Amino acid sequence: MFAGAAREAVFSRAENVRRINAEFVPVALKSGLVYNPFFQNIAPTDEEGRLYRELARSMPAPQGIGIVNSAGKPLEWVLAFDDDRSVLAFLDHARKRFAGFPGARQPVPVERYARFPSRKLPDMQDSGVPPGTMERHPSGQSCAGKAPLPLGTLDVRLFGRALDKEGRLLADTVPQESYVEDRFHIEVPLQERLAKAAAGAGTARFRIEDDLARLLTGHAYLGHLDSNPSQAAPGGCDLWGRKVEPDANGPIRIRIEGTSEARGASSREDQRARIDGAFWEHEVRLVWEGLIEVREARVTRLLLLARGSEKLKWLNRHLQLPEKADVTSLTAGHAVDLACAVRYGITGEPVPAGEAAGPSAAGPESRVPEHVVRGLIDALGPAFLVFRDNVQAELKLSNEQKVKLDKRLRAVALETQKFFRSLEDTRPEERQNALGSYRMQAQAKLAAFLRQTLRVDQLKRLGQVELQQDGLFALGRPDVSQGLRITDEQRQRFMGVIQEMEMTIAPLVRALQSGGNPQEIGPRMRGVRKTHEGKLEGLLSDLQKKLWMEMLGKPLDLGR
Amino acid sequence: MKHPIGWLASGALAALTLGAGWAQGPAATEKTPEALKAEIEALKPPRVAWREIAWKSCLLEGLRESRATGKPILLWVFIDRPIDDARC
Repeated sequence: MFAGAAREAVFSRAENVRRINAEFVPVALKSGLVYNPFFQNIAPTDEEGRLYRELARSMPAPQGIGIVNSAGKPLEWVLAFDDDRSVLAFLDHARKRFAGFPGARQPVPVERYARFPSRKLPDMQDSGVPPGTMERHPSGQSCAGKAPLPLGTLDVRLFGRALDKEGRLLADTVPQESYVEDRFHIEVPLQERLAKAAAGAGTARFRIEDDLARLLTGHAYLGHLDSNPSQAAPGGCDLWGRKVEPDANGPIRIRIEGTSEARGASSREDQRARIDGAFWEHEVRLVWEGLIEVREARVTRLLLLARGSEKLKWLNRHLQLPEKADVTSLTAGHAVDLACAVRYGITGEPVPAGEAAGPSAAGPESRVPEHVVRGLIDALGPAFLVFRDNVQAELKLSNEQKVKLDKRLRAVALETQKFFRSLEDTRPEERQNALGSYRMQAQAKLAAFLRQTLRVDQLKRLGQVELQQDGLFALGRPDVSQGLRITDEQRQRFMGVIQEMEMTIAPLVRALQSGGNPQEIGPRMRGVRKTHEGKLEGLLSDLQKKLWMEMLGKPLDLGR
Repeated sequence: MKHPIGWLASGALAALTLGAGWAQGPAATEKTPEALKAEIEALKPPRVAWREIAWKSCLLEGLRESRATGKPILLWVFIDRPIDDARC
């Protein structure tokens, strides 16, 4: 909501645009990269991660507009403005503050505004963390702000317009309820399945599979992200393809036709409606036509058109929303009451090879950086230690095994980064559930892969190394618990220690999630963990301690 | 605003009318790729106000330019993808 409102009310005004381009260096970053340390596990480098954390620690909210000096120190944050003129006044104010603190020579207090200039929040004092000196990303490493897509991915762009009563395109293209652009991607497996279906159907018409049909039709709606009519349940769509103009030398052309319908609304069960008062209903009905060109099981061009009608209401139970995007309320958005004819156009082309991730972009010799491996271990569990160099040396892997693991690591890293990106728009409670589920799936897939790739003695040693990483918290695993012959009474006391540790750690996690410095909080969390591991050890008998040491095997230095 | 029933009826009618050609097999007026592309292009406005700002998506690049030009960074932190030609 904030992003859409800021784009409309602040960054679409001619005078603001002119001054920002002339007097500032405009940089736009995703909140998931800057604000949430959870995602910074896969930040490209520790030094760049420090720059993000320095920004995040003073932000009054996960989104905002800020001013940053040449050393990467934030000077100002603002969430809204008193009126349109206040935006220009803020730019003047920002220039003056930058003149006073252009670089890294002196500490910089951060000024923060809930609304500029009338609602000022307490300043945040300088962290004292030295500014970064990093000039650019290491060779062969892409910027986390623009992660490359896998080679073969189809880059798809959508354009949607509302029509007036005479059937003309509405001229005002600033609000998203009259003009919308969207962008999404079609992965290689989906393209391959389409090519296979077309080949199998000959010249007969065939139904476009639901995953692809929903992907293509599901982005066609006006308004902002939160008004997606398919967010609660997928819309209905009935798209058909028919191969035409078969030509042995040219691409296969698939003529597409069909219909789609999407309908959604807020309800009493909708958590957002209860918390922030958002009330909405949205319905879209479209008829589709177009074609998709396929060559060697990859889509080489996609051209689709849709016509139909749309109805959208967006209100708030608690607030009288303005009729247009307003700088005073960037977080609440504005009211929408729309019922009109609409048109959509969709084009798709393969991501250029030079911009894609994969052999042609990264080079066959490029390796997944060590900090990404550490991030995977933190996020997905100790089984992922197998991707660390010192663990592979300990397991005495053959060259063939190393090549297989390296290939697997690339796939896991890409898949996991994609998963984290998909979490960026979700709420914290949804994020935790999604991560838990993803972690279980990733662990099961890795275990199956390792069973086929490693020898029995290597699997056994890897199991010991995993236990060394987990420590006595592995007592929660049934195999460990049974191996140590843990009694019911011990299990209950064990749970008590774990609950106590969770209560002690919870405020530290919250501090971390709200922009706290991981370099300060991380050691404290590890200290809490170590203390409670000692308590767990105190629950074991001498025999159990002996068995536990046997389970661990020879210690391996795992570093952090 | 139209009455909801009227709106739904008009939508359904449009769907029936436009879908009829498909039910009967290939339409005589199947569009060429060029015609489809031209219709899609016609939906794009000549100028999109918010795209006039030359946003950078790399903080390091922004800092480099800030040092070179002596200009402050105006940083927009957002949850969605508003500069990525995407809905937000």
